[in-house]
Amino acid sequence: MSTTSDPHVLEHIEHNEHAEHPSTQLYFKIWGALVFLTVLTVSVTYLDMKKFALVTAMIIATTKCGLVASYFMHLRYQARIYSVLLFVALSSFGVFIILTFADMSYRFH
Amino acid sequence: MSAAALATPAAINYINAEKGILSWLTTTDHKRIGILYLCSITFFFLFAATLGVLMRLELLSPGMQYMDSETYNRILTLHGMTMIFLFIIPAIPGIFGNFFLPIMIGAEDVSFPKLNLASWYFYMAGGTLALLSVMTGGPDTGWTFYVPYSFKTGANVFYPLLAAFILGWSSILTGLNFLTTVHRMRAKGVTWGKMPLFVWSLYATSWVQVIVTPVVGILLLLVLAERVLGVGIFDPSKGGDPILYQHLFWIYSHPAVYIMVLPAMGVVSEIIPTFARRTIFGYKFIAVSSIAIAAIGSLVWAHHMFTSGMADEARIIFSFLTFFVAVPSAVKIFNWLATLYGGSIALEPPMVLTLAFILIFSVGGLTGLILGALSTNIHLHDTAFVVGHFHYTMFGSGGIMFLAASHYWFPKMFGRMYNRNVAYVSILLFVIGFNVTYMPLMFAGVAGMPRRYADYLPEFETYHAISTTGSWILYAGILLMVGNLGYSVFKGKKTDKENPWGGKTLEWRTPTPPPTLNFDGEPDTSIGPYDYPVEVER
Amino acid sequence: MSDHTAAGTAEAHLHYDPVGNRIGMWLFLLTELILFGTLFIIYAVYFHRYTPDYERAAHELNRLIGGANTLVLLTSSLTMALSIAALQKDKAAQAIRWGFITLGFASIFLVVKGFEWAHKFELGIYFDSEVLLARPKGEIVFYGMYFLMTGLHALHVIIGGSLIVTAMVKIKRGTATSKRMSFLENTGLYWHLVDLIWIYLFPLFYLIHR
Ligand code: HEM
Repeated sequence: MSTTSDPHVLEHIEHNEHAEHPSTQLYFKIWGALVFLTVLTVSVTYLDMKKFALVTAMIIATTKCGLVASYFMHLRYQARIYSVLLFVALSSFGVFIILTFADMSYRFH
Repeated sequence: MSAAALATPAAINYINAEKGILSWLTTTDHKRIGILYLCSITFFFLFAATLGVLMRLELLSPGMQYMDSETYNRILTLHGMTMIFLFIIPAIPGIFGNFFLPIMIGAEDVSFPKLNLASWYFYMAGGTLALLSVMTGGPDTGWTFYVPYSFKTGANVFYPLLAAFILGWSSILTGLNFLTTVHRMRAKGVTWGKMPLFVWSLYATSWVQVIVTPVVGILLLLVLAERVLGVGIFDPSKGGDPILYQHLFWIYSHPAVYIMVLPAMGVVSEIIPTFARRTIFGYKFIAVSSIAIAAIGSLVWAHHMFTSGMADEARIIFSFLTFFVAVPSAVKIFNWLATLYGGSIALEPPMVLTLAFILIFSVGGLTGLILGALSTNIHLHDTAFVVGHFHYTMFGSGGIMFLAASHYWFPKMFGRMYNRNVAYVSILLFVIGFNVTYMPLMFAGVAGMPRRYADYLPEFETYHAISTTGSWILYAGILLMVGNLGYSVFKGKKTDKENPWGGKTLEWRTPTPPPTLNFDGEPDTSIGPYDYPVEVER
Repeated sequence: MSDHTAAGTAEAHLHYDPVGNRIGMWLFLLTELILFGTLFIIYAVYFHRYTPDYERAAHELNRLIGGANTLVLLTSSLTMALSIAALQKDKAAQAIRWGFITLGFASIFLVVKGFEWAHKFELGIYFDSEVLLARPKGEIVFYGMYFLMTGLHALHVIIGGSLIVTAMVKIKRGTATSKRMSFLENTGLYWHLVDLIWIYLFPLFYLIHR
């Protein structure tokens, strides 16, 4: 019995299954970028960034996560479905936090 | 082995393929796992229903007659917890989802059969822990485990919290399994647009389970940590905010009511076309509204907290959002009614229960709007009105449709038929008992009767006396119904009719009871799930 | 369908479905994200409420040690990816070697983390301790979150480590090969998730001070 289903979606997935994976070289480059960003995020804390400290740290962290997810976790090389799954989870999380703050930000000024 | 299968292919089915208790406890066959769930869930349902009747007995007249208020609190908590975590959340997905989802999409099994069995063991572990907590006196917090009481109380909250955590994982794993199965295991020809609506509803439910259950999982662990280690996250004396607990609790527990109601709606969408002999009206709308309910339902949690001390601005936002949920639910109700219109309706037991669902659930939904409106909520919050409301919605949807589904799929699952006359009598008792039990509570609530009270002022006695009488009728109905079905599993009239009701979904086009691999050969997917003959113009 | 056995555990008939396995794993990772996400929400709420306390407490964590540990974990992610790449090319021995290097980094991470915790304990900072309770409320909550979140993360490191060990055994036994990548790949996904979570934990606990 066939385990395939909706031809459109699945052809797409099967097709991408064989897409190439990052080369060893690329893995090392990504690692280099991650190391650089880590050093960067620690270094900037020695500057007096005031309000922007947290924002900067979060931007750098998000960039790092993007790198890990797209290359180490192969999101970039695979069918869109995995990114869609991730998007569903992250947007739910976004909604939870926004609506929680709909209360919190008014209660604690 | 395969020779035996070839010799008498029709006679071998999932029930007699293997023998002995052990073959059931180690099975990875989704149908057998469904039966395992059926046994355990029925047990917990009857257990908790008995607790409910005991509470009603105490409430028969003012003053304390049969138990002290401490015992009442414990029974209340156990009843709520068992009904929610052990009955209504797993009932339809665990039993009928497991049994029929793969068959309905023409698959041999779910994607991860071993994980599926593991879910059941998680379920049993959680259930056992919940029962163990009875022996140590039982928790007294209410099923919501609100802090700070839940980490201050001397009662045993440890077991139930752990139980709920484990049950959460059971639920997540089932959801994960169903999602992957729907994506990967559909037979050729079963496209997204040709998936039965029951499968659609389980798909939406599974998403909710996977996304929100971890929230409550970690939250319950935090309460445990608070109790054992004194962390301080939710302890106001150490800087914690108890209202944050409530937010996180309802981020899960409000969508959880859609985990209860969506599968029920899915069953309705199967039963109605079958017995009205008509194509379902607005297939796409029903499918999409499942997803919409799942999505919008995740935005409205804080309407449970209108009187908890939230910011006013937040209360207005959440009240506003709450009204939106009513829209997709109403879309479904109208679609079902439109399907019934002009159909040739056969009032078989499952259909009668389904009609009862539409009636009772509408009452539940409408009273929900009253509670969703901020101003009326302030008056009704934590009154018996809420007790009436949530029994109408939860018991009235998940509960009734669990019973309807049992009657609908019974012949397919067991190859036997129950006594229909007894079924009608039990349904009548059930529906009468249901309304007599919960309707008076709504009036009592408007008059000011609080919920979760073991005692009350004499002026509420009439309401309570009626309600308690109703609970006896209801209980009799439930026992008769379960008894009828249970007896028929072993002694019912044998039937091997493939399609006793004339349904169009795939499970009605495979032998009764289904073979281990669900179909003899390839499933026939040429007919859509609702391809009834075009009806005569009226 | 001729290979179907009558008594058949249905599972035996299921085809090996790497895509399905991967979808299942990603769904599981989502639940883990939400699980930690909930803790992040709690963190954020109290950060909003007690910003100065948070910043003061964060100052007491050593950002250099934290940063070094971050590098350790990032490198372990690299070696994990290399292990998978090796198995894909049928180089089982190499895959196992990278796997053990990954385990090595994981152990270093845990040991460093352990020393950090031990240091705090020495100062009398732990759940419900007198020293901690004497501090401002925001700091009590900060340390509460710190121990809970890094503790839960460490637990995930341990689980991830056990998965890696299992994967290595499977490669050795020949049940994980370039044709049956799912187990190792999913182990890798899990390991990277552990990394992802740390990437946020690190700045939130070590770097928010002014
Ligand atoms: C035989 C059927 C049932 C009876 C007689 C019954 C009766 C009751 C009673 C008397 C209460 C206590 C109300 C109060 O003191 O505030 C209660 C609470 C509750 N019931 Fe039921 N019930 C039944 C079925 C169900 C079902 C099927 C569900 C599942 C969805 C359910 C869910 C709950 C919940 C969640 C609570 C609240 C517990 C709490 O406040 O912590 N009940 N029920």
